[in-house]
Amino acid sequence: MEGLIQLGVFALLLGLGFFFGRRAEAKHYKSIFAREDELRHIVVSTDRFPPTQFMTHHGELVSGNVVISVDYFKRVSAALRALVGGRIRSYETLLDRARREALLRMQEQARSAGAEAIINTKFETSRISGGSSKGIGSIEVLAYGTALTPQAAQIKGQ
Amino acid sequence: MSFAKQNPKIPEGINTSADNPLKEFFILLLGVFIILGTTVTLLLVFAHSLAPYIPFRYEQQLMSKYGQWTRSEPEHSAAFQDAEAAIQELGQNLALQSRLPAGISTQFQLLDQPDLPNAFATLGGQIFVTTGLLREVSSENALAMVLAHEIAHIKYRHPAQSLSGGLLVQLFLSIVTGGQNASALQSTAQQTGILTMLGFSRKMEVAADTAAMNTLENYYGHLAGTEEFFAKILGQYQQARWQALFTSHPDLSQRIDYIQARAQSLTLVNGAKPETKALDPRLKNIQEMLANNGSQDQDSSEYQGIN
Repeated sequence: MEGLIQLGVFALLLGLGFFFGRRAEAKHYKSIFAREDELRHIVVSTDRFPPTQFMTHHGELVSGNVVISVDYFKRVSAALRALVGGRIRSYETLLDRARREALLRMQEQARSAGAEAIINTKFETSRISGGSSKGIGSIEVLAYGTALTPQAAQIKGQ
Repeated sequence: MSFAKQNPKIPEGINTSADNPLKEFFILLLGVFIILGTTVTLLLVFAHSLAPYIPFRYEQQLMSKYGQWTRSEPEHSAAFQDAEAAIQELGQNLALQSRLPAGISTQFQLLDQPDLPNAFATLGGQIFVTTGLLREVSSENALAMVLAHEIAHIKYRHPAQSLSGGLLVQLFLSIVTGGQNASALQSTAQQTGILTMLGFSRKMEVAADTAAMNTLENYYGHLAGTEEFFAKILGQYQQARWQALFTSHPDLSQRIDYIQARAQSLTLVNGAKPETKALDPRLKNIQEMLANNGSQDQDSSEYQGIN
């Protein structure tokens, strides 16, 4: 009887995790697609030095970071996958979303500073799980780079 | 070096897959269940077939440690000790008729639990009988059936089988899940067998019932009064049918039918109706004491089953 209750709680958590996790993911992707289109004009590059046409631009650090939690379903699914090995698909969408969201936030910061491009973009990823293996983990992705703002905009801004 | 006018549109499906996560989940779940289930079954079969080869003295050594632990209980009354001696005598007589393999012996102990009609066999040939059980029997035959049933568990090494099987499965599962280490294992080991009652499978219970009836046939020459305890328990607690599916114990009424069928076939051969034997006066004495002491909370007691 006790076992049945435990199984029921497990199935409930799994169902909740699947339902809400999937809904949140779909919503997030929708917003990511829309905002990527909107911010397409702020060019993001990994070049270390500004190209010639931006030589006179002002450089400034911009960053965007995001923390996304794993839902229970994803966690169980990943735990099962960890037994046999292979691609943990359930975490792949999580990282993809986090990376793109961090970029978007960085781009938004650049846009509000009047920048035209971001160079030298870098990523950091870390795990936030409260130190215990039992809790549901979450990941943080930080994107940062150098925003290039035209001098005129820079002077106007000041 | 020239710079793009705008960010390119990233093609989807490179870093992620569009597959429904449920599909992957169920394939994994099924696979893991099949593999774990097979391994657990193999481990159980392995433990059950090899446990009878564990020397009996290992069990006794294990239990002697536990014995020191229980001896610290307060001293019992003279009547209680007399009753314990009476059970010990009856038990040893029955054990002689049970054809125990060489080296295996039994030890009977009375537990002061008046509200819990129960008896169980555990490692080292230790058989525990509660005073609550004494309250429920009216003849020596009924008590002897319970004792012979427990002796049969010892004879077939059921406690060693279920303990080693349980331990192996726990060990395996804790290795697979990775989380638990030694301390968790220790507590599991204690929980699974030594300090608590052991759970036996239905097959074990049926085997023990059959062996117990053989013993009683040898000892009394008939099976009259054998089903009394089970019948009484059934009348009092009305075990629900669906419950029988989930507990390891065979359905009580099924057990009673089985016992009665065998008892009847025996009476027909012998012709005359056999008579049950009265309880030992020492046991009668403690029965009376218990009846006087407090029968008011009898209904609140819970049937735990004869292991």
